[in-house]
Amino acid sequence: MLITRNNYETFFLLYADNELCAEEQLAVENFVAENEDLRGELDSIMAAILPLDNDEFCPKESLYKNSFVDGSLQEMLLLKIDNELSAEELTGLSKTLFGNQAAIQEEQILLATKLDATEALVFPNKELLYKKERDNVVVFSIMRWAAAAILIGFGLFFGFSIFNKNTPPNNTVAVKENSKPVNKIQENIGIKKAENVAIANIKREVISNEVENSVAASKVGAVKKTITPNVMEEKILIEQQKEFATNKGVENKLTTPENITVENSNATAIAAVTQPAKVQAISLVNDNIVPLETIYAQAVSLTEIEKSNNKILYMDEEDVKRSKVGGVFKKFKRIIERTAKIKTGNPIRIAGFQIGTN
Amino acid sequence: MTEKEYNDCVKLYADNVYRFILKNLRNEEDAKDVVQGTYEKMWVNRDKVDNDKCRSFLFTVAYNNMIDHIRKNKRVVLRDDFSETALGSGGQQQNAKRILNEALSKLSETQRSLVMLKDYEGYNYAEIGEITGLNESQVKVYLHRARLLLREYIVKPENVI
Repeated sequence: MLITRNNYETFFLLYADNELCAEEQLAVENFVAENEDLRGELDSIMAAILPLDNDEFCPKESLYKNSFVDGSLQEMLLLKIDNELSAEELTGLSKTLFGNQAAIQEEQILLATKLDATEALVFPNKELLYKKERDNVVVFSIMRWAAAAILIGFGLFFGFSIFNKNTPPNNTVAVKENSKPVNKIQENIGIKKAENVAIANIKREVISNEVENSVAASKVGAVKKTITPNVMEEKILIEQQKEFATNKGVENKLTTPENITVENSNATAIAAVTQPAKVQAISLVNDNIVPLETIYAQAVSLTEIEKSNNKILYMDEEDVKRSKVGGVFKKFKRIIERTAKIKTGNPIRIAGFQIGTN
Repeated sequence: MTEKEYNDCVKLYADNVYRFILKNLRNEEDAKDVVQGTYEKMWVNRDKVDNDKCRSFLFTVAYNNMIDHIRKNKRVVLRDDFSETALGSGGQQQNAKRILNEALSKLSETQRSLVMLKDYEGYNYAEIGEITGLNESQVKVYLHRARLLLREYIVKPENVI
């Protein structure tokens, strides 16, 4: 084929696309050499052809398929590195790896990605992190202390007052409240005095009777003179005492032959005449009164026990004078019992407190 | 948790938490702040924290604090001397370790955290999931991806160990 100035473009395009045989390519090159004005046109056509880049697909390795290490095996290797395989799976993997060099190599590479756990980094100033708990001390102000002291004081006062009201004093004679409107303590003292004096008086009278019958009448008369003014006063007291003793049934005790015998024996000594000796005798008589009082108190206590055996165990609330505080507590207890519907049943009562038995 | 148990936690796990945070943040001061904040939170909640789970609690709080810190500051300052000094090796850094640390720095925070919780602390997938708030499958997938990325980095011709 002959290349002319009329058909050269077709030949130039075919030359650029490398679609001409060697003879034709040579013919094109000769034609350009003969017609230099057309060389520029051939160059522009050649420049329009895209150059061959050397760009490669970067993670090309991930696209390659290794017949020895497939995806599932790699996952198993990763799980092995992470210690997430069971013993059974580990055994199976070991068998798979046996003789598979590519898989063993892959395992070695993956093991290299594992961080070294022994690599230590020390936190400086660890003291900053240590803590100490503060003691739970409640700081009381002076006012709080004062308020607490007042409350404790009131509590003790009410406690003692309630306790004193409810417990009868030891070795004292219980007296009916309506007998006399006198202070109990004074009355007790009066009664004691009256008892002593009355016994002493009886003694003196016995002595005086003996003395009258004796030879030393004059001396006794003198003694009587000295005693008389006291005796007058004491006689009034003894009347009152007798009245009281009659109520309590003590009179018989006082006039028992045993007592009189004792008194008589002492009185004999007193009859030996002198005033100091008499005083001694009276004191001896007084010593004998002590057991009498004890018996007297015991008798009274026994009557109380007979009246209500329960009082041995607890104070009968109904008989004890109620305090305001006690009332408030009782009301509070009743409200709780009503609201909670507590049935107390047969409670055990000890010292005013009760314990339900049901 | 008693005062003694808390202080034992400091003694036992402070270094581990510090390593975990420091390797992620790559800034000593920020790491210290995060660790202090973590222990402070533990002290405040000591009545609610079971002593048997104190380690897990510490890493959970530390991880969350670290993520908050990154979000707040939006920066992770790469220190050139990190691999030389902050690791505390005291000697010439092994080439393999250096390359691996470089590879680690190429990972995302989550991937890096997962790898460190796995390799340094030895937690299983479920425990890592509890700490990071991911489920077990996610942990597994993210961790394997991270591991393969590390692998690709260290097998590059220029990083061949």
